[in-house]
Amino acid sequence: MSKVLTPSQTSGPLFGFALMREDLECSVDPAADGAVEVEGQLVDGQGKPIAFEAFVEFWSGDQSVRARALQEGRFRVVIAKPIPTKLSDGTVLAPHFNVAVFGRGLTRQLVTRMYFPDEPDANAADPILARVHPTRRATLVARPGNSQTLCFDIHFQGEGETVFFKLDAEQAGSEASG
Amino acid sequence: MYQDVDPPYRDPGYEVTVLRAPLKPIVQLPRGWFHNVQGPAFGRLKVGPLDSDLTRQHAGEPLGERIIIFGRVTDSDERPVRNTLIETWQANAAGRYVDPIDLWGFPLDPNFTGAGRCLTDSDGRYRLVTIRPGAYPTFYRTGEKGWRASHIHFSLYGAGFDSRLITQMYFEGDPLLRQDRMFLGIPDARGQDRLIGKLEDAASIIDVINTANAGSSMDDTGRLIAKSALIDATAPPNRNESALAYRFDIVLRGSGATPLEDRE
Repeated sequence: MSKVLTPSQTSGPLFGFALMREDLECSVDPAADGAVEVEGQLVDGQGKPIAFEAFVEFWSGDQSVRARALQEGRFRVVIAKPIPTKLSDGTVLAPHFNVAVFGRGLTRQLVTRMYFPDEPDANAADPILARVHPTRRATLVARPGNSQTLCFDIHFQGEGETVFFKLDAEQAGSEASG
Repeated sequence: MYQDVDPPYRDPGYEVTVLRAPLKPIVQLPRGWFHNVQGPAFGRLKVGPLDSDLTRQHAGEPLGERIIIFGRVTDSDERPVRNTLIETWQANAAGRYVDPIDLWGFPLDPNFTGAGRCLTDSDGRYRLVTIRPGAYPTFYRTGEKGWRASHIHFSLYGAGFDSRLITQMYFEGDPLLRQDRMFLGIPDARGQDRLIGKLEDAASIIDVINTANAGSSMDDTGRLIAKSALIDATAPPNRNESALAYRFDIVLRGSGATPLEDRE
C-alpha cells in the first residue's frame, strides 16, 4: 500500500487571532523607495466580496507577506517589485509574486501569480504565462492604480475567473523545466 | 511514492465551497516547478518559549484537558523538514474561539487564547502543550447544522512553495469524526487517518505532586484539613504537569509526490 501526504483542510474563518499581524502585511517599509502597495478584492461566483473569511499570502524570493481580506473583501500588502529570475536552464521569468489564498470554503489553497503591468516584454516571454490561454492571461497581471499602487483582484469564478495553478506535479515523463 | 489526497475544491456537502471553487481549468505546471521555487521566509515571526505552551500564556491555567501534541514533519522524499515554522489555532475547552467572528456564544476562558507557534528541530520534530479543544456546532449547508469534531488547525511552510500546507488535526476515537464534513471531505481513508492524532501512553505525563493534600484528614463535616506544615499560603500553587500525549506526524509535499490522478 502506498503512502499519502498529509491532506489539506480549510483554514476556516476564525484564523485571524492567530495568523494575522499588521507587520506581516509589508515586506518593505511602505515609505521606502520602490515600495509598491498592492490592493485587491476577493470575489466569489456571484460577484460577492469575501470579507474577513479569507487571507492571502504573496511570496517572491525572500519577500513574504500575509493579509486578511477585510470589509468588501479588500486586502492590502506592501512589497518591492522583484527582479527577473533566471533559471539554471537559462529561462528568464518575468518579475512576479506567487500568491496563495486560504479561507472558509477553500478546502486547500488557491494558487496564482501576480505579474507587473509595466513589464510587457518580460511578460510576453514568460514561460508560465505562455502556458495560460491568451484570453485569460490578463487575470494574472496587476492593474496600475495610483502612482505607487497596483490592483490585483482575485475572482474565484465567473467571466473573469483568475487563473489558478496546480501545486501537484505533472505525471512522470512529461516535459521537465526549471 | 506518496500520493496527494487533498479534498476537492468543490464539495457540495460543504456548501460554501460551491461558489468559491474554481470552475475553469486549473493550470498544470511542469513537474517539480513549484518545488524549485523558494518558499516563504517568515523569519520575522519570532518563536518565543511560551509560544509552544498554550497553557502558560496567561496568569492562570486554562480549564480543560491538558494535552501534548508532538510528532515529526517529513517530506515525501522521507527527509526531515527542519527548522520550519508551525502555527496552530483552536477553540478553548468549551468550543469557543477567541476570534471576534466566532458565532456560537460559548464561554471564553480568560486563561486561554488558543494560538501556538513552534519550530521543528534538526530532525523535523516538534512539541506543543495545549488544551483539548471542545466540539462546536456549525453550518455545513443551508438548513443543515452539524458538529465539528474537536480539531486543531495547523499551518506549515516546509522548504518550497508547493509544501505550504494548512490542515487540521483530529483526535483518535472521537465519535464526531463520523459526521464531520471537513474530515469526511478527504476522499481517501489513508488521508483521513493521517489527520488523526494518536494517543500515545508512553509520551503522556503522569505527575503526582499534590503534596499539600497528602496525608490530609477530614473534619466531621467532610471538609479536607491539609497538613498545615505543608501549606505555605504565600507560595504559588504547584502545577501538576500531567498531560495526555497525542502523536501527529505530518508529511509535506516534496519533489517525489504524485497527483491523485496517478492512482489507478
